Amino acid sequence: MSAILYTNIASGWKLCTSSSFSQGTLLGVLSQSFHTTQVVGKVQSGRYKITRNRSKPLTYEMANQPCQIAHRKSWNSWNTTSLYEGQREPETVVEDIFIRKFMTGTWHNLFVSEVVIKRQHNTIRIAGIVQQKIAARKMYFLIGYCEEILSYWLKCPVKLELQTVSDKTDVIHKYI
Amino acid sequence: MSVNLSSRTSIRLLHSLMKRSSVYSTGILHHGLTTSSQLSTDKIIVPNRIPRSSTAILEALASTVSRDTSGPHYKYHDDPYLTPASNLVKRTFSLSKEAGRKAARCIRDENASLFTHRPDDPFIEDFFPKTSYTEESNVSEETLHDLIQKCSVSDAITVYHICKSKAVELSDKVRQELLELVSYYNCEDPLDKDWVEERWYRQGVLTVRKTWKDNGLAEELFESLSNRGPAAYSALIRGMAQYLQVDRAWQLYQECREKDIPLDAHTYNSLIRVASYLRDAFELRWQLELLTTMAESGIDPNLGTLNSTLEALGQVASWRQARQISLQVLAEFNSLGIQPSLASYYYLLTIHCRERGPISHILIDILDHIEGKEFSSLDVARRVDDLLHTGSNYDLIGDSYKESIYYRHYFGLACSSLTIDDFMLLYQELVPHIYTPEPGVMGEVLRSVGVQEAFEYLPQLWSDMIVFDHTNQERLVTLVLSALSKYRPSQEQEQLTRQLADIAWDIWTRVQGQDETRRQKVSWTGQMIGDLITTLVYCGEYGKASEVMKEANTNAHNVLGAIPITSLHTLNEVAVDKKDADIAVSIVIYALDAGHQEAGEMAKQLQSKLTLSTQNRAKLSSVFGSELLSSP
Repeated sequence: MSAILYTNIASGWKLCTSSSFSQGTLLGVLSQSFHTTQVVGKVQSGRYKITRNRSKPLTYEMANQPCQIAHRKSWNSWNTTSLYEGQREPETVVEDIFIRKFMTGTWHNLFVSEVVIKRQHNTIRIAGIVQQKIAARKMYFLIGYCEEILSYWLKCPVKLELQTVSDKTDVIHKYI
Repeated sequence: MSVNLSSRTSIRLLHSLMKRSSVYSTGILHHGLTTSSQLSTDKIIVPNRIPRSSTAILEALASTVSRDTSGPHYKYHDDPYLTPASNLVKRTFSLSKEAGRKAARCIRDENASLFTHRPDDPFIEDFFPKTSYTEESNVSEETLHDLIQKCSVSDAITVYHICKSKAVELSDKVRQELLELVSYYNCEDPLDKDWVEERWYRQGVLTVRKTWKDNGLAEELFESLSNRGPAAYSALIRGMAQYLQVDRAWQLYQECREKDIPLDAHTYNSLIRVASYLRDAFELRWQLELLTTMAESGIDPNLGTLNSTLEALGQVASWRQARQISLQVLAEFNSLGIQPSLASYYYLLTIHCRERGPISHILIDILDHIEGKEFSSLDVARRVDDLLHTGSNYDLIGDSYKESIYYRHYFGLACSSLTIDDFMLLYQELVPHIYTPEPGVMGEVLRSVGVQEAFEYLPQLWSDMIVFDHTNQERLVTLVLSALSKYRPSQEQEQLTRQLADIAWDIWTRVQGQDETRRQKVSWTGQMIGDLITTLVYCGEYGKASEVMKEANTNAHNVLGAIPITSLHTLNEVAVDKKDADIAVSIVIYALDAGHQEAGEMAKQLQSKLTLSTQNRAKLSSVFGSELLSSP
């Protein structure tokens, strides 16, 4: 019986449940001879796949893996929620997601960097790099609009700290 | 926590001790070692606690930050692309940002139901959507009172009408409050305090006409009051006086006197201010009457009385006695112990310094008085500038228009009285972030650069002109060119020579490449072309100069007037030196066409110094005749 289980691990459970073994025997069999593969241990998040012709552009931030945070690059969210007795952790996370979506959506196709959110006391500072694709006065309109509406939404003073680049390629660190 | 606290206090103690010891040690250094024995005998005196406001630290911090002249104003974004230079761009950027803020507010107020979450603790009202009131709203006297406290005039009026239609009982107290509010604001909403830029860039129009809303809500409220006391009369009279419904205000004032209702000093002040608008009010009959009534009814005049009296005098400043009386008034108030404020000095200036009047030195006297010091015209301007930058006096400058007028005059005066080097120090400090010179001021600067031959400043001025969008101003371009033409290069100034040649060539390409459809265009004059040629020749750009000459020759109809002979000579000499017969011949022909007497002389010279081709000889002989050329 154990030979069947051994050779057909993938369909083993189906077989077990459809067969008319008693529960007791089954558990005994499993504890002795149920085998799994080793843990792959592969971490995927924050890493980019290399293309065959090395044409995928990466910013400095993307080029450094998450393990480089605090070594070669910095955090994208600055707050004290994760410190001892830090408050509003879930709210802050959700708000940050909202701010990022709002910024990239309002500055449509203009952000060429991550949106960095820094909280100090009751103030939120939002930093990032945008392209000079729209007139400077339109940027000023968007700055005023974003600061004000985010203030109304988050109920605290919000400030934008943007920098501009004339070309998208200015922020590209390397191609992979 | 207790450990923490005690450690903190001990640190504080240590700190204060260290401070003291450092003070003492410097004392020892100053007074010699003899004082060291005093160290042990001196007692530590703990100063009394000074009560501070909750914002005292913020104010102290803010006072350490002054206007940074090396960068744009703090309201602009710190990025080269978003840094404004010209006046127009500065205005556009600030107003765009505010427009964005307005859009956001509009979205919030139109979708008020979406913004009602309240994570803030304590509750911040400014982030919360504004409540709008309709006929269905549940209102009470309390609501009205709150709105009056917040100075929202239109909402208060709406709520008042709702209360009236719903027959909500309103007390005389709240009616009086509302009366005060609507009389002060003339039933109109003031510009929101949040829109700083709009206020700053608003064209200050001074209306000198009646704007009071007759039979408006203010008067209705006044009638509805069951007991019309001094407060009600005061509020209405002040409102009417402020919005220049002078006759009615005067009528109410007479009514008060008949009914023996006492009025306060502020109401008298408001009446004194506008009394000259009354019919047959000249000679200050009414002001005097008001002042004597004040004295009779035992009301102490205050600073406001002084200022209103002086303002009223300012309105009749053309009157000969106004100056004398104003000084008498000042002296009299001084004896009453009322010190004049900056506003009083302003009115004194309007009375004493008039365009068509004798020159008055009152400004210097005033400055001496304010500063308590002695000091010529630029010194005075400097002092005025210092006064402006004292404390929060800068807040008094008003709006952008007044600020630019201020700097225009300051620059104009500095430019005419300082040497160019000193002036450029001032220029570098204020331009472009604090002040962008208008074309008129730029003209003055360029003229003095030309007169004082300070060519080293021309590259900077020209690049500023490009940024400020002044390059299409014909007058300014002419001034730049005339300044450039005076330049004579020397060996050590190679770099400057190159820069100036670049400027000259830049002017040429810019003017040549102008958009034909532009309204404001620079059109060449003979003088400009002449200056341009001179500059290019002296800067060693003969090729470019001859190109300009060719263009001027072929498109002579685009050039107003003739190129002056000196420039033609300059170019001709170099052309002869370089044996460029074609250009030399064309110059001579141009000179003849332009009617210069020297053309014949030049042609002879040409013939003697150059060997001309048959083609050029034919050209010359066709205009001068063959006898001129053949004669020795």
